[in-house]
Amino acid sequence: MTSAVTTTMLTRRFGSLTAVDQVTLEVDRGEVFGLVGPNGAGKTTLIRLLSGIYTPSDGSATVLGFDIAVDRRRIRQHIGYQSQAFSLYGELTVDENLHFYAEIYGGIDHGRIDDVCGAVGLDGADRGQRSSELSTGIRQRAALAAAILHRPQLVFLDEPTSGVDPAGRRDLWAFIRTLAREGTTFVVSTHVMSEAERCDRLALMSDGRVLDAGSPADLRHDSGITVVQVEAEPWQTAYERLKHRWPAVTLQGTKVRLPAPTGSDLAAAIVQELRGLRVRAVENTPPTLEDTFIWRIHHVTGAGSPPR
Amino acid sequence: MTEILAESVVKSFGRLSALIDVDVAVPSGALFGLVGADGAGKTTLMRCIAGLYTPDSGRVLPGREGQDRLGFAQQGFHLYGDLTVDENIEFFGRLYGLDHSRLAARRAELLGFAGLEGSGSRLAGQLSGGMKQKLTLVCSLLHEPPILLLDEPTTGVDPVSRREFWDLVEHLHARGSTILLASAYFDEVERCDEVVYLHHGRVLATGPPETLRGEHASLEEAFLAVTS
Repeated sequence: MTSAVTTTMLTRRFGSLTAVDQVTLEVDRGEVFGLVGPNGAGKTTLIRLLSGIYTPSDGSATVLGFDIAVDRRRIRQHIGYQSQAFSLYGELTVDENLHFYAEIYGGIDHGRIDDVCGAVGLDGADRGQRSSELSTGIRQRAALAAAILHRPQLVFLDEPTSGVDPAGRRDLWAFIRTLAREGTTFVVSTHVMSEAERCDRLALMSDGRVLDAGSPADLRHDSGITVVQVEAEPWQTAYERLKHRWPAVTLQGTKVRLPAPTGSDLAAAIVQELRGLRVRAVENTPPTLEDTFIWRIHHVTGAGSPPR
Repeated sequence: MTEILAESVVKSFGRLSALIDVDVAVPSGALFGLVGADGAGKTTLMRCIAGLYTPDSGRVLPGREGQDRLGFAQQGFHLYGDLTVDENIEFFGRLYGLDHSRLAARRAELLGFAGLEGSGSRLAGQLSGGMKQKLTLVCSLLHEPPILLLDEPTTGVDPVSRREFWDLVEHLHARGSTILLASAYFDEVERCDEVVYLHHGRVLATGPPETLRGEHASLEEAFLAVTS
């Protein structure tokens, strides 16, 4: 069986800006694949290339076996796309929107609309409301319902849970997992690291390029960094001194955390830096996905260095 | 000493009970995280604490009387989009009664602190989301308040800008500010000294992140277990 998505040196330029830069990656069928990166990293442009909205400037890609340069119409029949720029008509109710989409796609009966609404957690009251008056969480559910109405094999979700509360996030992810088990492929862009953790695999993007791809566990493991956690008193002074020497330092409560390349023995340097303070513990801990990601961004691109 | 306090605070809007017997006490120099779903009452609580709302009953600190000791970065964009960064700072500085030389000194210091040097003449409305949040923080710090209320300062902000914003929060924390920070992100409040779970207007639990997490894999799962 072919992959859901295969890209080879895929590139998209807008004038002098290269929004997607030589991206090569593969997404398997039934996989939940995350795109993580800062604003301007190219996540949305990549999704729009793969969903047939933009044409590539260079490189190539197939989506569900179709070439994105020539088969854009057929691709659009088989994918669902929930965009950030909201895709429902504000003047229409949720139900009217879904019936409208059902007409466009064709071959969708009312029972299917009921099923999808039930699955994403839209009740009768939600369905009767005008889309422009919905809370963010309900609006995201309605947009998801519209995106999956026609049983697409591949669904693109662009920041699906921004503004959704914790219980709503849990429900949405449970639903994504159910569909994935049944064979639907998801490509999800997100800002939220705890959400990225839920993906099978991730691509870390910055400046249009894919810096790394792999499972969250592999990305953490292969990051080549460890986090030295320091407990010292007074912690305020410890933080200020270590931050001055190593700008990547962060705080966790009153513990000071210092990401560093694995194998670099910083204990002596840290203790030296903290002379005169009471150092209670210096220990190596595994990095979080966020540690890994911020480290990669700063060390690969030099962009967005934290303020001193 | 408790710098930020809500004691048995009740606040209703018509028939809606926004806050029900809420108790929160942040000691001097501590960083507390306030986490809960949309509509849990986070913003109402912050506004009561800031003295912008009067509670139906209960007591708050610093409240209206203590507003000169308080910096409040409200949720959303409360700056003037068609004024420049410098003009916004000047406007808020004058509101706080800063004189010309004090304002100039604070502006230079805080723009440097926030990494916004060189952006003084840009229109605030044209800044990125992360830069807007930093400017909001700068404007709330002009009068050097020892107490800070930050209402969802990183919502919608990308991971790199969020890290930069947290660098600022950590610096302020290390320099002794007392901070209450509301967030919808559990991995974020995990960095605080203590976390307050707010749900449907009630405080469900308060404690250090590791205590609240207990046996659960994450703070978020612990929260979901308590609320459902």
